[in-house]
Amino acid sequence: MLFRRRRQMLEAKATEAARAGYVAVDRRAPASEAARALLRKAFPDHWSFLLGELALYSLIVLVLTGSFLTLFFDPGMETEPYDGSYRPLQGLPVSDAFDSTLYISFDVRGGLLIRQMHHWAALVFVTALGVHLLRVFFTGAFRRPREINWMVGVTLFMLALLEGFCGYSLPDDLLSGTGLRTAHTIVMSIPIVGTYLSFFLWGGSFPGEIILPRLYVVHVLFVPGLLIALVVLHLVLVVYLKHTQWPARGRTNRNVVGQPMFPQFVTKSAGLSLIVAGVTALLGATAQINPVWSYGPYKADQVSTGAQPDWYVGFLEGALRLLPPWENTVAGHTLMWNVFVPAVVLPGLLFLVLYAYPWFERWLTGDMMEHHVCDRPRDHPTRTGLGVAAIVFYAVLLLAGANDLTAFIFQISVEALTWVLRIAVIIGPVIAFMVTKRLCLALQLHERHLVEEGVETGRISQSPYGGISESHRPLDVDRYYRALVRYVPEPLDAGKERPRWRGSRLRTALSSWYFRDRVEMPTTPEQRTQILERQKDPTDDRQDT
Amino acid sequence: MKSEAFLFAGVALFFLLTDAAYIVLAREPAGTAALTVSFLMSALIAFFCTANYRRKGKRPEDRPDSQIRERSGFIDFFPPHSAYPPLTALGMALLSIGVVYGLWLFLIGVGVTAAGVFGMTFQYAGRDD
Repeated sequence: MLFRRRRQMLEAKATEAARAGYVAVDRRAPASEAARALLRKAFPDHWSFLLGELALYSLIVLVLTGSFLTLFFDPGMETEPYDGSYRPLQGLPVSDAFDSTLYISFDVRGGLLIRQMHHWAALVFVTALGVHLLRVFFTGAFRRPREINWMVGVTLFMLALLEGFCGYSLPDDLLSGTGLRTAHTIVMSIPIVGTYLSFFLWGGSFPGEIILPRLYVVHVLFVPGLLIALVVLHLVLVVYLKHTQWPARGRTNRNVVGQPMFPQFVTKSAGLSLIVAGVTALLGATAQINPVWSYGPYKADQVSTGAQPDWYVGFLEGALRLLPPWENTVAGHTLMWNVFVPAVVLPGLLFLVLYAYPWFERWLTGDMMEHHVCDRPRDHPTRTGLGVAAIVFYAVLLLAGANDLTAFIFQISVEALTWVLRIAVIIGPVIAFMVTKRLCLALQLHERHLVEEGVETGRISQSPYGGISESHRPLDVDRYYRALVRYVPEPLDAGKERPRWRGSRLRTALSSWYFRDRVEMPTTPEQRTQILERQKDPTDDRQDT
Repeated sequence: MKSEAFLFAGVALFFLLTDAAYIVLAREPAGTAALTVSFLMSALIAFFCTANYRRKGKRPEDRPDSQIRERSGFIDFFPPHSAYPPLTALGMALLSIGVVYGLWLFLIGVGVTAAGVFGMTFQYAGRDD
């Protein structure tokens, strides 16, 4: 009795304290407003929406481990003979950067674990960003009204590559020094301003003593600051615009169906963040990465064999290796096309294409509608084909970045492999595009068969006349819905559009190439009305009764 | 399925004899392996047919005087479509190339093959008939 009363009193007190605390905070900060926005947000439940979260949580691991590393790292480039605890390198001239990296690895308690976790988390981060970007691309989640968020995302991807490259360069080992040498050549290859720019960045000739302190500031201050700010903007926009959703019963272009923040999403997402941290820690503890002590300190006259950048820079390395040695001399100045084209023009074009894509597609559709329902990749064969072609292009370049290792392991000629890859980088994407487009259309056709005939059951029977046949059962409702309710834009009509300007003919031609191929689904007029109703623009205020 | 069993038993016997002669005369591992595997495969089919004959007895098509309609009705479940056989083939290809080039490729091959075999075994295991 006594205890129960006491407990009730304590509970009442705690409730009172919580309320008082909430009121105190709410008067001083927008607590209720934030809670209203977040607690009422519907979170999607499909796995493909977790890819961005993977990137977010690996970024958190990166920030935490990186903060730890800054306590011990020194980016100085003055060399002194090494006298640390790693015996094989003793007496070798090493820079402060390399020395402090070894110190973190061998003398700081938990230093090696944190360093390896940082490196692994960086690889996971860029991978998750890339896969998330592909998901958004293939499902058409970049369409109106999410174009700005798409651009923020592409910027994040670019910054992640830059951040990764800076971090890779910091330890001043033989590999990262070779990477910086490549970067130096790339800067020098820019016509006219290249030499001035390289002198400005490196503070004189290569390697100088200023590049690492500069990269360090970029790596721990400018880029991470920008990254975090843009991530916040990205998330604010996600909350503001709301998530897209897969087509399913009860989900239309005018509603958002999902799970609430509390308790479902919080539980799932907390679990995912712990998994990311746990897997990174496991990798850091068991899988060696970037053992700088076995590469040795950087010396400008040495290059290690089998040098590989981290995977996300590999495509640039591959492009550099594939381009033939083209250069011209104009008025005493050398124009190095073999470096300028693959390492400056190519990534520039890549990101330009990524930035411009949402507008390109809208230009082709002339579509002013908002889209909140994801496309299935098969319903947009040309877009999917282009995406896969880009992936194949990237993959061939990545492979070319390892042409020496591949030739060594498989005991084939480097020259032959390089020529095969040179041809593959041009033909591969074209074949990939055609095959993917054909496969998408085949999948559509298959779905049409399923709608018309049902699903094969595998139960074979024989008729009295000897005919052998398989029984079918009708498609279940969810798949039926998914097959029928889809948004496939029509090509722009050349006749309807008046040729007011010169690009108009090109536009209709491109639009026709982009959208003409499809497999129509068998629908009744009633179904077509229902489908149109579900795809209605949410900004369209004309309510019909 | 008696006649099928005899047919494949004959094939198995042929491979066994050829194999024995090959081992004695040629003393070369590749051909020996190929012939041994051929023998085992045809023996397996012969065994399968014998076991089925023992279990189910004669079918209408085993009798010369049977009618087509005797066979009518439900035959059996046959998997209608599956991506796992090609996956298993890919895994075996990787596995075999891995034997030549290195452990890493072999291990990838083992993983892919395991996934393919697992899928082939369990894809239609949960059906209700």
